[in-house]
Amino acid sequence: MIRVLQRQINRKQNVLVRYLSAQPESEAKESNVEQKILKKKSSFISPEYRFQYQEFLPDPQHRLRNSVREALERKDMLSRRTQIYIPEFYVGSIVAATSSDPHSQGKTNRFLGICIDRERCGLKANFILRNVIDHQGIEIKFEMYDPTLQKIEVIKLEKRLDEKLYYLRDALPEYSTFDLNMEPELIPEGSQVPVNPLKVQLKPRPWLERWERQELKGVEDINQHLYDKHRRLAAMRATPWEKYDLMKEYRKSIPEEEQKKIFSEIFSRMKQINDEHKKNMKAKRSITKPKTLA
Amino acid sequence: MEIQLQIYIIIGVGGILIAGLILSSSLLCYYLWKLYKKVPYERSLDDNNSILRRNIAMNLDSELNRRYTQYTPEPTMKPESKIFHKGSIKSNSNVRASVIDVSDEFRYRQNDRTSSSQFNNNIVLKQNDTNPHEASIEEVTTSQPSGPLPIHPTAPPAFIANQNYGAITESIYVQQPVNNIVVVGACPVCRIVLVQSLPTDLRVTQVRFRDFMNHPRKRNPIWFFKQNRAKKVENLTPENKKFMEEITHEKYGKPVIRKGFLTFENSSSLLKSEHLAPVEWRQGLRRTGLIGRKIGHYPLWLKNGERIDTTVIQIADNYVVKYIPPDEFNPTQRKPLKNYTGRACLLIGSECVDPNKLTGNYIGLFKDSGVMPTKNLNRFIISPEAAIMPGTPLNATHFRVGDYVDVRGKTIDRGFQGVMKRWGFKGQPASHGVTKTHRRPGGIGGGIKHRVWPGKKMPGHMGNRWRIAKGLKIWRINTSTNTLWVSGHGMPGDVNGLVYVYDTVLPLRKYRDPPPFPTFTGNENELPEDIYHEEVHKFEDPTIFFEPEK
Repeated sequence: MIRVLQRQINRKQNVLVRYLSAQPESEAKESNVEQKILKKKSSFISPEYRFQYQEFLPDPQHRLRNSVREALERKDMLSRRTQIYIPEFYVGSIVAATSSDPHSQGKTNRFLGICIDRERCGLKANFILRNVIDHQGIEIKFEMYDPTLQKIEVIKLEKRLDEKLYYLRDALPEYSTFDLNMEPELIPEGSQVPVNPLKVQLKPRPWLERWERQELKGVEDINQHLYDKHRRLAAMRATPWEKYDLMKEYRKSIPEEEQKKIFSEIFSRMKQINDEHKKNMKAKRSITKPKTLA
Repeated sequence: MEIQLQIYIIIGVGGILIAGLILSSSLLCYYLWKLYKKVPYERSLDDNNSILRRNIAMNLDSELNRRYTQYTPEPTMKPESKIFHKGSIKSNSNVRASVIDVSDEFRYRQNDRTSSSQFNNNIVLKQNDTNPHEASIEEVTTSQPSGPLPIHPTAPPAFIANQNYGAITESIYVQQPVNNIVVVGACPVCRIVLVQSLPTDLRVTQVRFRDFMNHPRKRNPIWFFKQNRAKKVENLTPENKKFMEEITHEKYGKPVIRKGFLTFENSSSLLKSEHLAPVEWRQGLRRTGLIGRKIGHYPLWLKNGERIDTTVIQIADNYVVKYIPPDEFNPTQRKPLKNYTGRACLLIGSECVDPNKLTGNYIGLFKDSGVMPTKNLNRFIISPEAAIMPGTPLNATHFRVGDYVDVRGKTIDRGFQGVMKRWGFKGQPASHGVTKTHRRPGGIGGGIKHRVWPGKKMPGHMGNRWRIAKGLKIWRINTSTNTLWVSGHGMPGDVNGLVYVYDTVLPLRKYRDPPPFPTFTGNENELPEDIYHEEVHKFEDPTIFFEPEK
């Protein structure tokens, strides 16, 4: 038990480092040194992998775990990735997904929006894109390993202050309105993923959820929409001690040793697949360039 | 005065004593007589030195009848000659005769006893040439009696034939009294039960062999042994532990992971047994099932872009442990007869374990097959043609892609649950003045009949029951991990729970073309690692794009 806790504390530190690194660059500079040391320790497997390829980590629910099925799933995920390049993106990134539909044969649909959530793991992994089109909020859930999904483009790689952005549904529409023909913003490879510190203005009540109880960081002055009653009830139901509950954290996450095992299993194949995709993309880009110029 | 008193006392005491003696002796005689009556009579019969074993039960209700048909007399018992002594079957009575086995000619008449009777009718039963278990009525003869005529003297004696092995073979409706029953072709194990269903003037007394019923005894299957010798292995020193390990590894080889399961190198190959002669598959033959583990849900996509939900079953290191042929297979619980008659049984084990923890009895089960002792055992009822040599490993290739299977398992134990969870009731409103009745069932009966009807849906224990999910399609097979992708999420049990996979019994999804019979015997290495159904999109295939129709 003590060992588990110690391991957990170590892991917590890693998470902390990671969290700091997710801050805007000026704040995160101090932790860079520490991160480098950690990187060296964990040899070739980057600690970033748990965020980059989060769907490769299995469901931490002990009841549902089975090593054989997880290995089969990983194998199938990799073989699907040979056909489609699934780039690194996070909740808060602006992503465009192109898919085909049996009801519109010979065509593809491209939908661009902000990723408000990434759910589940393994082959069931999916993400939700949100945009406002013609004053109408649209959300589409895409399955990551669906073979009808043609392409995933990351238009703007960034993070937001929260893990889930469902509150955009109750925010003013300008926060989830994006131009469908947005130009992709490229970030130099290897650089840290920027965190957008944007704070969102919510519409007045009624809301879809009780946002005041969720300790949201990305919402501007939520108090202006609340009565005393709301504040009191929120304070009543707050669970500030939960962040110290190591066992809860342990049950919700995959232990670090297991993560390393998983990523070392897929590392070489994943690298090979990604390199191939990048090569193909470069080749395509060089062909398309003269057309844009003309 | 005193002397007189003494004499009186002596006489009185003596009288009491004598009376007691007489009473006790008469009681003794009575019981002896009763005992004598109970003992079945023995008499050798001269005809072909064969013995007829018969038992007459008259005026029995259906239960008594069943009791008698279940009873098989012991071979030492001899037939009884006084069967018709106290009476005879009167007119207008329905007589049924049950013949268990007829193999030898035998004639039995009872002319002496019935000489006083006024009628002389005979029923002649004869053994069938083709089926010795059946007898048919050959002739029914009537001779005109000298005394008063029967009720319908002109009507010929009618009879209804009802032939069925082991049950009542002949049913005769007798309109005239019967005195003689002549059985032609009887045998040592012949038994006739005569039952008169019409409760008219019947005078034949019951003759019983025993006063008690043969209660069915609890008889466990031969493989029901205590499995584990101890919960833990004793506190052995490290050297001893190593020594024990070495012994097991010497016999069964070193532990290896084969097809996703931890087993031992020689778990199945201790005996090099040959395969049985192959039998050609035909409709109606039943193959063995397999023991598997449900390992989780898995999405698959079809080539038309549709997503299907499947559940993965891993066939858990299966070996044939024992074959029990039909005549030895005698289960305690006989379910529908059609499923059991002529069927054999195959005992299959799965997941090899360290034998150090097991009892000697349990290990003895595996001795003949040469299979390493396994954690799980299950019997599968098969046709004798589908027998497999003990020691043979069974794999997922026993099934094919596109086949339908039934999966049996124990549902998740949810404990005591209310009606909302257990039966999906709606519950009652959360507010609007409702107090204390938010998840309750509401009324459970009442009205004209003041009672709760049996089977009413109520709170109670939910789950932990054997259930079968039928007719599930196999979409994909992985030969390297022995896994089956089976349609749906409705399979009973939790992830990592044991399930039993059978060929389906649903009539429209049964095999049309011959499956691997009795199991897959080809070389598994020649098969591809992943076998997909033709409709399934392989993950390594290019992205689906719907071309416009021309």
